[in-house]
Amino acid sequence: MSKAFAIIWRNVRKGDGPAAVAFLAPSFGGISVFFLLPLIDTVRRGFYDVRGVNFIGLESYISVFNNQAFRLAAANTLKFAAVCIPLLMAVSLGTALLLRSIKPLGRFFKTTFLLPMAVPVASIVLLWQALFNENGLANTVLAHVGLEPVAFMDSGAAFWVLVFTYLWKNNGYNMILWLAGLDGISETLYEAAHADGANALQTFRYVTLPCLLPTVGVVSILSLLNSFRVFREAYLVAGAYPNDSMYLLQHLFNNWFMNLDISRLSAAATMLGVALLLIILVMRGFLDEKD
Amino acid sequence: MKKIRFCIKCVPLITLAFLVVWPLWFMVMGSLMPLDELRITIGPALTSAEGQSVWPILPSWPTLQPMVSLLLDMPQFFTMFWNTFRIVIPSVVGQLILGAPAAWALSRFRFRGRKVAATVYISLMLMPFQVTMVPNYLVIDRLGLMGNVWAVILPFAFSAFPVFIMMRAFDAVPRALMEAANIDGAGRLRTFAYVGLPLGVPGILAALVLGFLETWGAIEQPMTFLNDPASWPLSLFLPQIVSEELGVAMAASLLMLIPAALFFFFGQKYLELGIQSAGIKE
Amino acid sequence: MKKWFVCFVCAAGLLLLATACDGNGERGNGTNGEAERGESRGVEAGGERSGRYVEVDITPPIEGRIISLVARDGTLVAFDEGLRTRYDSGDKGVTWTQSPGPGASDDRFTDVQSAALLPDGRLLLYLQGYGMTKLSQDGTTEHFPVAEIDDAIADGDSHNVSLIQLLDDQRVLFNYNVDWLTRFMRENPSGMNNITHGQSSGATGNQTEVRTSEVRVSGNIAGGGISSGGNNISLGGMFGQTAAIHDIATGNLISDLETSGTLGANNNGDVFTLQGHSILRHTSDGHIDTFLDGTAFTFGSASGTAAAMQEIADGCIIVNVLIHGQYNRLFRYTWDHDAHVNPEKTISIWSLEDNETVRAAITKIWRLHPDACITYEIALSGDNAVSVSDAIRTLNTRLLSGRGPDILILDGTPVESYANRGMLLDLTGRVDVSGIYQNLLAPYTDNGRLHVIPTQFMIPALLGDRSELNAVRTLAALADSVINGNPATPLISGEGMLGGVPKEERAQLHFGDLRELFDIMWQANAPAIVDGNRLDSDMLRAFLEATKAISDMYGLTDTNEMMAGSSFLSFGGGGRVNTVPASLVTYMLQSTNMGAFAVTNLSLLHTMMDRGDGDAYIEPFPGLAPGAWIPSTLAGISADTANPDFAAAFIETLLSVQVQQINHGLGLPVTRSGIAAQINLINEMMRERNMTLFGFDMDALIARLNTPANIETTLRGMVWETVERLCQGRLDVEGAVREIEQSIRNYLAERS
Repeated sequence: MSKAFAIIWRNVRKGDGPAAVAFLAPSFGGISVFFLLPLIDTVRRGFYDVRGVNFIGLESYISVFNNQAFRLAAANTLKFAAVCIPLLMAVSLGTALLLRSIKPLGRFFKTTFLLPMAVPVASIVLLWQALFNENGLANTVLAHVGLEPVAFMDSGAAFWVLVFTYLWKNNGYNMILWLAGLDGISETLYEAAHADGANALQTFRYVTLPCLLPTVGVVSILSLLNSFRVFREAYLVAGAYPNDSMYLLQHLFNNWFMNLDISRLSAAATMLGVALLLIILVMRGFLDEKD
Repeated sequence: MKKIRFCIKCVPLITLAFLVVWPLWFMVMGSLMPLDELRITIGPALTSAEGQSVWPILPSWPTLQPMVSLLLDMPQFFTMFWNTFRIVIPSVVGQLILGAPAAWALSRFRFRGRKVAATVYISLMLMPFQVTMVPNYLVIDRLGLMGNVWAVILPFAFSAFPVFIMMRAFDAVPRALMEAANIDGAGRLRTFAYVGLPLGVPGILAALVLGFLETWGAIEQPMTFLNDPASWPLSLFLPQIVSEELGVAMAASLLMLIPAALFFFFGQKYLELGIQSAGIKE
Repeated sequence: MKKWFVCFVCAAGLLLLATACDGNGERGNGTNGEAERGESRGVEAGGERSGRYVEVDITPPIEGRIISLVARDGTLVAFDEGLRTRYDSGDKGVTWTQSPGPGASDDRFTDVQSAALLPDGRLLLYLQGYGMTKLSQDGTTEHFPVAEIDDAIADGDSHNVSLIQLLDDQRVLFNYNVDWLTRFMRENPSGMNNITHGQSSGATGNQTEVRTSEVRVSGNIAGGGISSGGNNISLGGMFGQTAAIHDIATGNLISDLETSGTLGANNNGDVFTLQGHSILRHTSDGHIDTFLDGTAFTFGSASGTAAAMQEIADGCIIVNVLIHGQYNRLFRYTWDHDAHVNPEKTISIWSLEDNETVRAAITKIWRLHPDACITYEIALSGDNAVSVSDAIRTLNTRLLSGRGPDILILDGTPVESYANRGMLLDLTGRVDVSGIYQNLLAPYTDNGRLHVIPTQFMIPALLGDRSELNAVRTLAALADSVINGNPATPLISGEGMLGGVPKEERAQLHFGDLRELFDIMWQANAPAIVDGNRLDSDMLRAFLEATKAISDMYGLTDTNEMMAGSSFLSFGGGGRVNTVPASLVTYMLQSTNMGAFAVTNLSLLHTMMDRGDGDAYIEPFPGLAPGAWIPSTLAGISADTANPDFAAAFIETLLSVQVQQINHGLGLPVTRSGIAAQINLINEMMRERNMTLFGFDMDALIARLNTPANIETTLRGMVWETVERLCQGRLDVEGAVREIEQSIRNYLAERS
């Protein structure tokens, strides 16, 4: 034990080691107590029975894999992430590009697009109920245009309501991220492209996009983070058992918890954690600085 | 020609802006609407009453009645309002004091295990609350904090998210400046205090705004860790009145939004700068 | 260099600490002393702090009503009914000396409810129809003019003064009871349309609001009841209470108190009221706190209500308690600093909603074990509207980390998951269950193990003439007979509030609203629709079709039309309020042939079967699951409990005759002896009044029950949402079947 510690300490002492330990210690200590330890305990619980007394091995994992509800929730979560993250990135990039090209009103639009971030979840819930209920406002609008009313919360449309919520809330945030990336591209590159006779599309394809690649890492990590957060809106608007199309892993987690099924919840959470870790490791290439 | 192109570009932006503002406009107007009108306009959507919701652009007979009844007849509203601040302010302060040095270390120091530590922070940031709720409860119970506001504040103060945001902001601090400071004889702490902090201000303030918004709207944590409703924050007040009175619910939503919006408007410039610095690459 | 780091870390820590102290300081203020009791969720009986209030029965030898008061010198004075005998005690009730009272040879004072002893030795009391009166020992009276009361008498109001208490040498506190209903009916002879009754507050708070199109009255119910006979129903005793302080010399009003239901006041200006099970203190600066929590005391028990209280010197409190609405007892409460609490008798009880049966059991077990410490936690208590799922989430978190309550009352929660996952102790051999009807226990016995016990239950039932009931043996037959029967008649017509309908014009059934119909339908059909982890679509379709047909027939989705208000109140002994479902009210008023309801109350059942025409009979509701019943007050013991023996003793207390024989409004007793005891009590009362005895064979009815209905809130909530939309015509039956199938599919899949 002390030998291992000595080796670690020797490594740490190199370079900024001691300073880093001092700077990190308070935060890392707290993180360990409040998040890391609980996480390790969660992993442990995946291998134990509900009361955490008897070791049951992989039983929970097998049960989770074979569970229909888990499959549906995992598929939906994947689908949601696969649809909404690229969609958000595209929409927010488009917004950013448009905003850059019309400087005078930029400030006004920026404020407007960022505003939904400040709306508390509980208020959103009230608004969404008024909007997307069967005889809510969205359907009134549809009726005015001469369209059939849509059961937003009780049909496949629920998925798109969720996607809309996600875009509504996070578009401004991501737009600012993109703007930063765009600001970082030096003018000389554009001038060179212009001199070579590239049109707008070509400039975008060969200059803007490659230069934005580093930003993609941050934008996608934060988009992923926010895609998990949208569950709260989903849960408060549509309850524990929403339409199949928006039944996410967190609904399942929540319901398993209500049902005291902590072993399977922990097993499923561990799997989710491993999946996230893999994604992060892949993305680290983007995230890390180049130097 | 140029004007036309300008207008064409404005159209999608205005459409988007409309989509964003539309729901918020309802909320503001809804809180000024008398109860009878609310019952007719959005009653069908929020209660089981029959009919179709409609929404006039402006209330036909604006009233401050719901607002007044909320502020005068519901003393618990004020209590919960202050409870919220009692949770939010220490949480945000903690995030800055604890998070900034950690972010600086992760961003600017060269040491073994840096990548692992950074990955740990990012992974923890992504974990949903349900996953760690039970063990978290155990930890808080063991620390003897159960029922105390600190059971909510401490986990927020140690949150990984602001560290991530500030880390990105510090990434933008040029190494050349640090080296210059070093040559001038400044130690690491001084470099952090005189170079890192000033240059990282946008990122730090962005983390502050985001941390504020997150703690302001927290629901699960106070619900689980504060067993005495007398110390519950406002975020738990809203869902419960939604079912009872429409007008009051609208007014409460608005009042809940106002501090967040104010904070947001004052911090917006920094938020933008901070988010930007998270996106900038060296 | 390193110093800097240390300094930085220290500074960060200090800053955090500084903010921490700020927060703790604020909390600290609230946790001192008794003030905290009111704020803490749930109720503490006994308390974990050292010391607690100790109850001592100091009743003088009086059977029946007692008028009690405290003289200025601290002497306790008590009178029996009619002021015939006077008892004095100078030692806080330890010994009493007897002397003849002013009513010994004078029967004018039989209605006197309260009195105060004036400094000149005379009594101040209220004489019906005459006003406030000063009464000397020799029986001479002198009118004491109080304008408000004299005016009311002149107006012919049924006015009553329920409390008279001397505050000091100048001021006296009155609590008036005003019979609002009588006054309202006199002033609006034809205005009885549109009366709705809604019950707010808990069972003992008795806050009732009578809302009419013209006036809105709110006040406390002091007594009364629904009685039926022939063609009318009388709803009596809606009293509004107001309290005021008057000048003792002139009778002039000094101040009106905003608190209703006053029990008393002290000379600091604090006013005491009864709220639920606790006595609250309203200080003159507007602060309200819990003064004395009654969970473990007689005045907070199921049978008693505090009628008056006085605070005498050195923290000693005297409470006059009305028992079963019939006689009084006097109790003294003193704070005992050295009260010993036995750690082996420390248990906590959790329930989703306030449960009167649990409270009765706490009172009883606390009497047997004065060194016990019992904490009762109600997850959905009062005004902090926590949702059911929030409450369950918090409970699960605590259970999973081994910090859960010892006893769980699992009504409304996913019971099976608690039992199946080893969270509950096996009760076999710990709790004597031999007294329970075995067919009610059987569904909870799993491989010889017993994790939860229903301690009460309800029977979804149909009440009506034998011939009518025989014609509707199945759900389809019931729906057919409803559709082919008469439309429902409004309960409140233009002519008058209440009236019967000739037999040939009566509808088969009626309900107050869709929810009432749904509840009984779900209870009687759920076991057939969801069986274990399977959903039976055909059964679901049949259930939805029948529900929709009945709802359409009676227009149950049009809320304000036929029936105003979904339920009526009746009042049991001790001021307890029972809700009578609207379906029964219409049956009793002879405007329907049958009534559908969940039997929870044998005396109500007896009243109903005694309607007066035809031979009333009762059958289990003809649902898809014949023999369905509803468990109630389901009790289990946490596997992590430190005191399993005392917890088991508590569950046995729940099953004891003393607890089971009282109707707490939550269900029938699960024990044979409990049912027999309740029937005995009813028959005793019936014999006294020369009325028909309870002749129905409950044992035979109970023997036909076999399947407990799923009472889990989530599942019922999902079905209800769809049923509501189906009946409103927003969905067709097929759509509803599909929607429920879809939402329940995930519910069931999660559990497989």
